[in-house]
Amino acid sequence: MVEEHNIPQIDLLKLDIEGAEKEVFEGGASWLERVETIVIELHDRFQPGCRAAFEAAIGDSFPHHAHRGENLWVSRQPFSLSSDSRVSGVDDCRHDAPHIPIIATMLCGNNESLIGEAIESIIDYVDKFLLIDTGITDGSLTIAQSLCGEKLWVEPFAWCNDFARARNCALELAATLGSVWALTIDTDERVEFDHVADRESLQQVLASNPDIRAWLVSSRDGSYAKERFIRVPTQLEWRGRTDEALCGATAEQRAVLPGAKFWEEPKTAEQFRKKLERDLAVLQEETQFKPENARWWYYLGQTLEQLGEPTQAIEAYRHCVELKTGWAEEAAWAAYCGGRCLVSLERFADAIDLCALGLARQPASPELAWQAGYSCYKLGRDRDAIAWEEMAVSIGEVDGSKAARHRISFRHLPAWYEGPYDVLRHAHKRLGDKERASECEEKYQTALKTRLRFASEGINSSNQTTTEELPIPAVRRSSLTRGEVKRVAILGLYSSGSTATAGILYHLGAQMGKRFWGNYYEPQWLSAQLRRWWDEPRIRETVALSERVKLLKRWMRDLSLDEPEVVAAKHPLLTLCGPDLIQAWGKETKFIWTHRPLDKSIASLARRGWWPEHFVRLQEKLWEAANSFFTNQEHLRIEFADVLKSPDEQVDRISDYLGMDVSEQRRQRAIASIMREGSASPLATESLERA
Amino acid sequence: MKRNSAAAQPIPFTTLGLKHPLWVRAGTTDEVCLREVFDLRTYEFAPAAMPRVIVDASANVGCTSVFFANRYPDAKIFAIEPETSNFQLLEQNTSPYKNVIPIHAALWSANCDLAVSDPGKGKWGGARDPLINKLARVKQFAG
Repeated sequence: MVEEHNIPQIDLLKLDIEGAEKEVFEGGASWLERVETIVIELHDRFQPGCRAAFEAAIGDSFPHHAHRGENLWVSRQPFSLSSDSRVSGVDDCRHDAPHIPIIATMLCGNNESLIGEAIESIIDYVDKFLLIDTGITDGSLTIAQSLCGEKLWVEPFAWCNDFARARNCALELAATLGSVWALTIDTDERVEFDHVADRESLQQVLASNPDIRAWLVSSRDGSYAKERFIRVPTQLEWRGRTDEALCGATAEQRAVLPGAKFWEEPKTAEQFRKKLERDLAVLQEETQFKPENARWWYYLGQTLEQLGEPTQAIEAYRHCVELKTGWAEEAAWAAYCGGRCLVSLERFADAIDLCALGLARQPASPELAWQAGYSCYKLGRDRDAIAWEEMAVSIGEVDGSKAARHRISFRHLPAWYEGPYDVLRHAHKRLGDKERASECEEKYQTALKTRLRFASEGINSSNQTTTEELPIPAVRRSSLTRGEVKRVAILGLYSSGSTATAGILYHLGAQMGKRFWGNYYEPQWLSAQLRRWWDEPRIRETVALSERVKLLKRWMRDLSLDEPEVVAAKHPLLTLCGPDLIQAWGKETKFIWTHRPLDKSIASLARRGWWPEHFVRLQEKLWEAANSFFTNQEHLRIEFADVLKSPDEQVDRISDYLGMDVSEQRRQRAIASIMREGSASPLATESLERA
Repeated sequence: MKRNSAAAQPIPFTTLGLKHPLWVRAGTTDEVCLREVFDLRTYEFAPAAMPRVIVDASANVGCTSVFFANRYPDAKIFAIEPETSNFQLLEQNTSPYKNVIPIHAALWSANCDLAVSDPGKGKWGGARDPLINKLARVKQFAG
C-alpha cells in the first residue's frame, strides 16, 4: 500500500485488527521504520502473544508511550493525549446522541417464567437494557423485547459455565456502550426502589459519592447485600465461575445504596436442582484445581448438602475448616454446617470434634458451642452438654458477651438466644436437677420471645451494639431524601460532660454509631481515626484536612443509610475538627459545646490518671480549639455544672435546639440516663464523691 | 438475528461539528464505535507535528476516519476495511471527504484467505455483528 500510494511516511497508524496483530508483527515488520505514531488495540484475549509480538517489533524505536481505554499509543516523538489546541473545532465535534447513565445487564438463558418480572422491576430506572443471551430458545427474548422496547440491546454470548466471565463481559460492554453505571440483575431477582422516585433521582443517589465504585443493594430482610450498581469502565472484576464475587474494591469504594432493596424469586424444586447440579460440576473442578482456596470448599459443601449428599458435604466442609489460609468466619461456619450434617447422620462424636475445630478458628460462634452441647446431650453426656451450653450462653445475646455481633455474616440466631437454654433445660432435667431445669425453662421462654420480637420488628440486631440491654431502633421517618438527616457534633474537652450529653442524645433516639468505645458513646471506627489524625495524646496534625473531610463524610453517609432523624458524633478530639465538620457535613451541622472551665477539666482528668505526661497540654489544646471555633459558630452550650443540677432542662434544651419531636417516654429515659451512667461519666464519679 | 428488527438498517447520525452525517446501524457495534470516537474521544491526541498521512486499519464503517478527516483536513487518510457490508457503509460515510481514501482489504503479513469470525467471546468478533462468520477475502498490504 505504501508503494502503491507513494507514501514516504505514515504519521499516524491506527490498528484495530482483532487479534491479527500477532501475524502482522511476528517475524519483524520493516515498514515500521516509516511510521511515526501507532495507536493499537492489542487482542491478547483472542490471540495470545499479540502484545509480545508487537513489543518485539517496535523495539526501542518508539520511546513515548500512553494508554487510553483499550488503546496503546506509541510514538517516536513526544505527544500527549489531551486535545490538540492547534486544531479548530475541538469541542464542537461532539456527538448529540442521548447519553446512557444507567444500563441494566442481565445474563439470560431460557427463563421465560422469570424474566418478565425482573425487567419490570427496574426498566423505568434504567436507560438501556443489555441482555446477555447465553442461548435463549424459549420466549424470554420476546418478553424482553415487549417490555424493554427501544431500550433493549441483545448480545449473544457463548455460555462457558463461568458466571464471572459472563459478568465481566457485560461490564465491559456496558462501558463501551458509554454508560456510567451498570446495574447487574439476575432473572430471579427483583429490585424495589422505596425511596427513589425515578431515574433522575437514582442517578443523583448513585452520583452522590464520587469515591464509590460499587453500590450494594441490600436484601429485603436486611440479612445481606450484593454489589448491584458498578461504575464503568471499571477495574473491578468478578471472580469465581459460580458463587462469583466482585473483587478489587476497597472499603471506601463500596457502600449500601439507600432506598433500594432486592429479593429473589424462590426457585421451584426442579430449577433448584438444576442450579445445584450445574454448580456442583463447576465447584468440583475449582476445588480440584485450586485446593488451597477455602471458599470453593465451603460452597462445594453447601451444594452437596443441598443435593442430599451429607457424607460428601462433610468432607468438603472439613477441608474448608482445616485450611488455615481462609476467612475465619467462613471456616467456623463450615464447621457449623459440617456439624449439622454429622448430627443428621447421628455421628455426634464427630460433630463435637468439628465444632471444636471451628471454635478454634472463630471463638465468637455460639452456634458451634450450642451444636456441640446438643451432640453431647444426644450421646447422654449431660454434664459435657451443660458445659458447652454454658459456653454458648456466655458468648450469646441473652446473658452473654454478645460477641457474635461482631461477625459479618453467616448466623443462626436461635443459637444466640434460646437454643442453649433449650439443651440446658433437658440436660438438667435428665440429671434430676429440677430447680435448674425449671430456671432454664423460664430462660428459654424469655429468650425465645425476645428473639421473635426482634424478628417481627425487623431489627437487625447485629448492627446495634449498645450500652443498653436491648437495641433501640432508630426513629424512622416515612419519606426522606438525602440531606434531611440532622447532623450533630458534640464537642468539648475530656471530662467536660460530653459523655452525659451524648447519652442524652442517644436516648433521645439519635444514631450515634455502631460499636461504641467503652461506655463513652464514642464510635470505635471514628475514635480510632481521630486518634490517628491527631496523634493522641500529643495532638499534632498527621493527616491532611482533605483526607479527614473525606472520612468524616464517609462516616456520616454510613450512619445515614437507615435514614435516622438525627446522626450525632461525640469524641473530645472532634473539638479539633470544627472546620472539618462544616466542610464534611455542611453548614447546617449542629454543634453542642459541653463547657466546663479549663482548670476543672484538667483537674478531673488528673484524677483519672490518663496520659500523665500529656494531659494538661492536651486539654489546653482542646480548650484553644473550642474557643477559637465557637467564637464564630452558632452552637448550643451545655454547662457541665447544669447537667447534674437540672438534667430535665438540659434534655429539653437539646431536643429544642435540634427540633426533635420527642415522646415523653424517651425524654424520661434520657433524663434517667444521666443519673445512672456507669463509672464512665465523670458526672457519676463526682456525684458520688460529693455524696 | 436477535436484535430490534429495525436496528440493522443504517441511520444517519448528525453529530455536532461534523460536516456530513455519519451512517451507522443503530443498536449494533457500529453505534459503539461512534460513541467511542465521538463521545469518549478515543482518538483525541496532540502529536509533536501535524499529521500528514494517517492509516486507519481496520476502519469499520469509518467513524475514526471521519473524525480525523474533520480534525486534520489537510492530512491524507487511508481507511482500510476487509468486511464487505462495513466497507459499503465506509465508502458512503467517507465519500464527502476528499482526503479519505477507502480501501477494501485487510492488513496482513502474507497473502491468504481468512475466515473473519467470532471465536466465542461474544463481543467484538472480527466480522462485526450482524455479519458473523462471513468469509472475507483478504490480501496483503503491509510492507
